[in-house]
Amino acid sequence: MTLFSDPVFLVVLIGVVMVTVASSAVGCLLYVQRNALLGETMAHGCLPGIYAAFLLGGTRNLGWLALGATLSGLVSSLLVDAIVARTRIHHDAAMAIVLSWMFGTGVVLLSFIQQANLSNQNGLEDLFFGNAAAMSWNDVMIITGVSAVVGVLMGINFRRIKIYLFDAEYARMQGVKITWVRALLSSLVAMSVAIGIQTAGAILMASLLVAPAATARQWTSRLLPMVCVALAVGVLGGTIGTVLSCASPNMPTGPWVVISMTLLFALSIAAQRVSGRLKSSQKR
Amino acid sequence: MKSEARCIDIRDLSVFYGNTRALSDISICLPEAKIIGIMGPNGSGKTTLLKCMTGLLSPDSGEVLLGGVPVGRQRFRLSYIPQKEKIDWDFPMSVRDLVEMAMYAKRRWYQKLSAEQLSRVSSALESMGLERLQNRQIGELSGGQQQRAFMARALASDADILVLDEPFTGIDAKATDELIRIFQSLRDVGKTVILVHHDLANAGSFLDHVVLLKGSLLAQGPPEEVLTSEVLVQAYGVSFQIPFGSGLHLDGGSPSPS
Repeated sequence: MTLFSDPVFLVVLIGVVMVTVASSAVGCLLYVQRNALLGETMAHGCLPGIYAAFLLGGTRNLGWLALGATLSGLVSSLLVDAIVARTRIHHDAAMAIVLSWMFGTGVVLLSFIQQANLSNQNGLEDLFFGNAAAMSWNDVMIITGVSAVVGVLMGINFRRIKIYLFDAEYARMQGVKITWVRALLSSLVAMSVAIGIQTAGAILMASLLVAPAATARQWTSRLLPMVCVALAVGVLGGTIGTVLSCASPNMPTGPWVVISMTLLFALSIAAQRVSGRLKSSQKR
Repeated sequence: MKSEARCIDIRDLSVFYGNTRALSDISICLPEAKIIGIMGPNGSGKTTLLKCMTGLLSPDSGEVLLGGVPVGRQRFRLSYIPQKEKIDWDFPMSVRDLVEMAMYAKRRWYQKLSAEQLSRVSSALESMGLERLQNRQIGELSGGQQQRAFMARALASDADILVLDEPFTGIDAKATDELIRIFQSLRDVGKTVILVHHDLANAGSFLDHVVLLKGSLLAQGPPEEVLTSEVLVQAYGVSFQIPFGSGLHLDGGSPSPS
């Protein structure tokens, strides 16, 4: 196979797979918290941070931009919490407000950058829909590093996070520091979104978080197996999408990854239906 | 000072939500190894009192002591069972996972549960009659079984004080009877069961001690002393006839105003 011996393709493939590893695992936490759209909010919330980081640093180094993305993603999550805590506005409306406001700010910052005609600015507009094909080996190293941090933090704190997500009051009685776990969860989402933006873009990022989790939940009723199945679905969807997009010229990777993951989700529902019918016919 | 060894000592407890006073100057000494009902009309501060007891809420003044030591420093002695509506029953978790949660705080992240802990989980499940349902997802249980699954978690943690917020909500008469029997057997082995309770009709039949609240303490003591018509008029503004004595079953189950 010629595609798999092409180093450019391999770089993109490894990068996309590492992005999906982080986002599918973290997506499960958002899913069981019934907070799936927080991922979307933080993805949109990343944009101003990325552009601000570019303006401040004058570099397109992914590590630097991802730092800006993580910070402003966290800011958007804190803004949502602050609105919910201080007003009578509900969580969903607060997310809608913050999401659009941050995105709007990002677009304004981008036009400012484009008008200033700064050098080195090419590709910044790709962050709306993602442009995985532009990934460099250096980017992949950063993505892999952040993804590993996400994995390790989640592994070490898994029980704590699980108790908190299920029953926060019980968690407190067990001595779990709630504020700390909340900050950890937001950081995990922010980090996985920050490294995913280059692949899926701010607009499509939610799919990378939610689709694997939703697919996995069809097949298991326990959290750890759910995370494992979601990882498999995420990596499979990421690989299929990357192969499909790289097999033909000028195809965007991010949207193809999203389409593949959603197809896996749809297939999974169909398979569930069929196996459910088989089981019920066996009972008869 | 009184002897506080076997008593949950609530002293001068006051809680404000903003400018609203939810509880004022509650001082009670609750006997241990009893089934204690916290009763009162809606908004009378029952859940607030419960949360102060479990240390989930720090009161604006006053304190709760167990054996003379603040409850916040010995939370392991208590287990809190939340209201059914507060739980996400679709959460991907088996009944056994739920009970194993009681052990998480005692293990580091890389350690599996020890053989001794696993057997404690198993015997807690068994004592609640759930061993055959342990691999079910928690949402696939009946209301009574769900309540028993949470009881099993409390038992596995070895807590000697069980605190329940409206345990009978949404469960039928048979499951209610089962749950009451479980409370009684726990009391008989020395555990204290504290519950927020609404049903005046059966309160007299299984509670050993009643705390009647209406923002402040209206009355406390054995149910036949507390749930008298005069006190209930004070609490609810209506008079009720409460049946006393164990094993009493009512048709319909709702108290009739006299």
